[in-house]
Amino acid sequence: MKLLLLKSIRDFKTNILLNISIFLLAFVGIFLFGGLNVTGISLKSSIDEFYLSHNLASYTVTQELPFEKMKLLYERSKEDGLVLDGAKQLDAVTLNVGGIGRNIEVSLFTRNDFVVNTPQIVEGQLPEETFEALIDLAFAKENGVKVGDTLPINIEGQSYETVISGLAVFPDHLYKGDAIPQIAETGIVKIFVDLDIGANTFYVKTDLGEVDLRLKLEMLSDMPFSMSRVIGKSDNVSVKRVASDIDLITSLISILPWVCLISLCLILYVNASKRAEDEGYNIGIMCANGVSKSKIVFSLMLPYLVNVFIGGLLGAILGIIVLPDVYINLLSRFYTLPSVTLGGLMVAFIALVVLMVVTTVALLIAVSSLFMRTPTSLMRSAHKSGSKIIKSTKAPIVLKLSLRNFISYKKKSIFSTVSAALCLGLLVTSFMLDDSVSDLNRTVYGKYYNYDYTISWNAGDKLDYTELSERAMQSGLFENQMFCLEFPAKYDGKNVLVSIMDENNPCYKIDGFNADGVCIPKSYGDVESIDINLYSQIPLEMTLPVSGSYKDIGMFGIIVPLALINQMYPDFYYLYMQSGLNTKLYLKQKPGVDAEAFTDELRADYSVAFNGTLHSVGSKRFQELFTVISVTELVLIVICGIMMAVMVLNISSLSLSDRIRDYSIFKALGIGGDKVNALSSLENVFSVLIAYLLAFPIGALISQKIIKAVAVVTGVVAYLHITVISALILFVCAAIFTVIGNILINNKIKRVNVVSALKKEE
Amino acid sequence: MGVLLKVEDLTKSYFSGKNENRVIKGVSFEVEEGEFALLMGDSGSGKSTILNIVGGMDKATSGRVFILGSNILDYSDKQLNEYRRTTVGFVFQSYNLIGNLSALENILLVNGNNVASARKLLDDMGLKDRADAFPSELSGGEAQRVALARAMSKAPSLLLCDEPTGALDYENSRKVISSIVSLNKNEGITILMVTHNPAFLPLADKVIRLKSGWIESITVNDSPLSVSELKW
Ligand SMILES: Nc1ncnc2c1ncn2[C@@H]1O[C@H](COP(=O)(O)OP(=O)(O)OP(=O)(O)O)[C@@H](O)[C@H]1O
Ligand SMILES: [Mg+2]
Repeated sequence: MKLLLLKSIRDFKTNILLNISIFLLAFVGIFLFGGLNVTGISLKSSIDEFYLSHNLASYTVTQELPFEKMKLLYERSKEDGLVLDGAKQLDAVTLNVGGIGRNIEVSLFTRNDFVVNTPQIVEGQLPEETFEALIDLAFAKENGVKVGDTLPINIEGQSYETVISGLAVFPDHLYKGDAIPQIAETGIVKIFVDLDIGANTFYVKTDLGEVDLRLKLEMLSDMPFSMSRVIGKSDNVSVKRVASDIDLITSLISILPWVCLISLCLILYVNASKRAEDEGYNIGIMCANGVSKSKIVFSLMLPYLVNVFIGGLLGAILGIIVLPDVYINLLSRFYTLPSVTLGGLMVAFIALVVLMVVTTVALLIAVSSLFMRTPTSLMRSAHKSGSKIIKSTKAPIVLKLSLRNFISYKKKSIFSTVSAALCLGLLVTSFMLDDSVSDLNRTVYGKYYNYDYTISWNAGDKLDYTELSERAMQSGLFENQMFCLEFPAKYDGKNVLVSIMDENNPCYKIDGFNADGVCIPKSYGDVESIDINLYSQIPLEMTLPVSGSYKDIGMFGIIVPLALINQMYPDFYYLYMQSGLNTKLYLKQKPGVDAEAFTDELRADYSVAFNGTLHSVGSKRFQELFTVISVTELVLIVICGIMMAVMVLNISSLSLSDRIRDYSIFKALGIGGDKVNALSSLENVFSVLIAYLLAFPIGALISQKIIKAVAVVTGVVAYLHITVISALILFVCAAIFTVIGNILINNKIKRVNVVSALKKEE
Repeated sequence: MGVLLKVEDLTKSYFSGKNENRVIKGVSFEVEEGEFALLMGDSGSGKSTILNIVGGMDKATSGRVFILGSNILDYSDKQLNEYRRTTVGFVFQSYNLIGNLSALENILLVNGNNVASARKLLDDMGLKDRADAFPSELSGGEAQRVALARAMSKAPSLLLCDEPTGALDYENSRKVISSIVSLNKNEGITILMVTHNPAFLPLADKVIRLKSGWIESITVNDSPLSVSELKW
């Protein structure tokens, strides 16, 4: 036994490069797997935890619902287990709170509104008098205010003394802040007023997706909804929204480690079985001399397991300590993250065990197949067979030989090719994501979605909309704008949103629309006229001729020219104003423009509760998505690079140990170094070429999973594809890896001692 | 006849740590053009070491090795490679054929893809039918004759053989040695061969005996026998 140990140690020294590369494989593999996994798990659980403990809403929905309707929806939703809150409030008006001197969110409430509002009172009571306020508990704590204090506030230039009647935890909460609410900077103050003003915004807390939520709300209220995943001020972001960005990152993090682990297992498997085969001769001698099998196996396994264990353990520890820290720091440049508590630490160690098991199994399988042979056949140099392809004597000999080698060292070739393909697959993913999503901006945004930002106000305010349209264009902030009146209606049993547009609006471009007709989505089929029932306190039925259609892009819209309505229903505009439905100005912001500032300006000038909404499919939102994706790409590229480097090292040391004798014979025969290099290089080239081709389907699978995780924009499909240029860049990357691998091998070949290599037993 | 190979004061040491192990301790000898020289001696006396140095595969510690007047120990790696490719042929005890190339292809590898001449060489070695066989399908004797054909395919000025029959039985040894001798007698190839088999002594023009790194004796045989005359 002692001698066998000694042999293991000596083998370790002779195969130092192989050993180092196995150590590195285990180290890098577990480092990445453990570190990334822990990062993902910790991020996700910390964000969920924050989300839960702060009782944050998932969606904000804006809809002009009559109070009775709102109440109905509220009651029905409660029965349905949907948490709905915060109806009828003056949203997005930022007021300077005198005593505190900060801009905070203020919502104004009427007596009715508290019927559909469910703050959890922690201290004090609901407001009973005008200008009493209920304030956010966290905000109160941050700013040191208590029940009974007065908050002097300014509303549109006028100063009011507001008495704090109670502190509460609100279940709604869209906070100002880039991601995680910065409670010191914001807060929700609900002020009880007798004025009936304010838009209808309510918050929904749900796990439903956007489409499902919309359908559910429609079902419950029997009304169509236009909603955005995130509504509110341009910079207001719910944690859920951040979570959706983080989803991208975590979904990535949930795939990446596995790619690392699988390719690692593959390579280790090849390594271990290769090593056992290399040892065939020695095993034969030991068997012939009656050394017990278990001792042989043990001596073979020992260096492997020690390597994998130490490398993996170091990788696990460093991975857990370093990676989450680096990654979370990187992310926090883009988001304000909650403090992250590390979780899922065991995963790294489980992976270590998996790795050791894989190594053991590989060695056992390989050794047991060796044990089935007689010691004599082991000691006789058994030549690999089945490699007689390319009989033609015309084919260049070096090419022929490398192809045959590639095929006769099947296992090594297949496994290393597959693991190279997995790594390259990561690169493909990064390019594919970029190509598919950046294309989205060009193909979808601007074609279907022309506007970034909506300013809406209550038609009851009787504002001259043409004046606002002109003002928006004159400000020079916007590329174009569109005005429309909107009301929910029913058509053919379906809930639809009817938009009434000024047909002269130059920015309104929809295929097939003309001023005499109504534009409906194709999905409603071929109809000649439609009956529309207007939802409001005032019943109105209209029959409109249909002309044209536009592509079904998942909107429930029917578009009607204003002139047609006026001509057919002279009373309509009057009725519409009475019903107090939605009036909207759609805007396309110029790059870098903050439409919210413009909204603030309007608020100041008109004393109207303008509600500004950044579209979830707006170009700005896309821009944010790109930022996340480019971080993702960076991570993918770095990881792919590290993995490829370790693999190249390993594969090259493997091929070298396979071929060292062949290379020495070449040298002894005086065959030029370039030919020997070509021989080893060609084999790598075959491997990488196949890996390159395999990488595309692998990359497509990974990209698909990631895109699914981040598809915030319903109805917009990102068609997975990759551009020729990206494919070329990838090819160059693959070529660089090949060249590095070849340089490594060729350097080692140069240093091979011919005499001693030939002395070795085959 | 001129001198083809001239070895002067050749030494070779192996170092392990600070310990010097001098295995060739100053060896000088000559082999003339067309000569069939044997290098003999006890195991470990340094025969393979000398052959490897002469073959341009190993470095010497000091001394000079002249081939046709130029000292190969002064050669650069590139020149050495050129030397191995064109001037010297080497036959090893363990054949050293490339496993994934057939007999014919092993020869094509070094003769610039000249199929006709490769086939002729195999014919000469009596391996006409074995040209497409792979090394794993060849007997030891056949493999060694393929190796010999491969060494010959570059038409070397000097053929070095390190115990070419060491792994072979009587019949196969005979076939290989007669091929080697006929190369010397018919083609006039200069040969330096290491062997342990004293039966080959009468075949040689010159016998160089080594003893632990020194030349023990050099004997010249004026009337060597042909293989058919050899009683063995
Ligand atoms: N790489 C090496 N390191 C140290 N010593 C070596 C090395 N190679 C050979 N030797 C020593 O050099 C001496 C000569 O070796 P060489 O192989 O030339 O012997 P040989 O005469 O060919 O023997 P044999 O007839 O057994 O083949 C031996 O004593 C051997 O131990
Ligand atoms: Mg020897």
